[in-house]
Amino acid sequence: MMSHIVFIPLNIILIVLVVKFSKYPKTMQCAGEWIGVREKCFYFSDDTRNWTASERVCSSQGSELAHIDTQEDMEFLKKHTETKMYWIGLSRKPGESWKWTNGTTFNAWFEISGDGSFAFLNADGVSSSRGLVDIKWICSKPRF
Amino acid sequence: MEGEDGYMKLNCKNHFKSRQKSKDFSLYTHYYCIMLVFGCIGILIFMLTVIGLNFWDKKMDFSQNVNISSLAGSKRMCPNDWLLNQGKCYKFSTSSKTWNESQRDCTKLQAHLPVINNSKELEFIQKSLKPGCPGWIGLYIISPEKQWQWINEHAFVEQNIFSVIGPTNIMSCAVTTGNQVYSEDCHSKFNGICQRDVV
Repeated sequence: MMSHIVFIPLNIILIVLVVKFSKYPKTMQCAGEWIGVREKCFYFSDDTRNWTASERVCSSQGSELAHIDTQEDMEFLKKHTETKMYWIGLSRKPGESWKWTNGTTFNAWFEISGDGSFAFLNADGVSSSRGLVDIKWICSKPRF
Repeated sequence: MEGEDGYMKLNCKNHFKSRQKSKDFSLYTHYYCIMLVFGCIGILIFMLTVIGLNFWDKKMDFSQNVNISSLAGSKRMCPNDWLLNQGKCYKFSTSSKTWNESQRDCTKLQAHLPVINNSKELEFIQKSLKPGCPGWIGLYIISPEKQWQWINEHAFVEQNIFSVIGPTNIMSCAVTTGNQVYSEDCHSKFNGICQRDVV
């Protein structure tokens, strides 16, 4: 028991050292067709599916439907959608607020037009839908 | 010795002269011949091309004349940038708007959201849509009876051409993708499709 307690500070020191001195994670590239932007890798699909099926595809690839944190990321994604529509990772249950696919509540830092329950993005911004139409989707995952 | 020398010189000169002669004439005439033949072939190809192009241009002009006159005759014309299909003109918008806004945009162009009468019309619209770009059609529910109806106030008959996937709430509007028609919230933003008769 005592020996375990001794290991804890040692581990902490080791982790701090690794984080401080390793520069490899910062230069990590996004694999294959994924596009690296700041702290995330994004994937724009060619295929079209409904919201639920799109979310399944993203999670099967170790990612989630696009989680957008920053204005810069939003501008980048909008620019790349051109005239097409892409599902992103926001949905709401009747009478509830919008949530990201990881369960965190959306703090409404951008507007979602319409009365639907599933969000999609295009060049004009974010709109809501009933989630049934087959459109393209964007997956995202942390880069580091 | 001298004579022999002189003969040698003469012989050598003669030999040189004859070599030069052959270089001057027989070898050069060979080149001239080849160049002449190539020149002739070149001119022939040029002339054939000119004749061919002239003929082709005339043929193109002729077919264009025929097309325009036949269009004018049967009055099957669409405005610029519109697509013609089965006697109707179509314009596919690339800006996403609500169902009402899209319908208003069409009205400004003396058109309306599509009213689909047969499966060929539906097929044409669906084929013309880009993947990932669903478009509003002129089908909606605003009545409390929750019945789909066309914007020309005709009732929608489900089994005839297609069925609408999704809920039949009040304030539902229909959107079509490349292969299915879906029920959507009328305030959502999709691309519009305008339909009008030929002028």
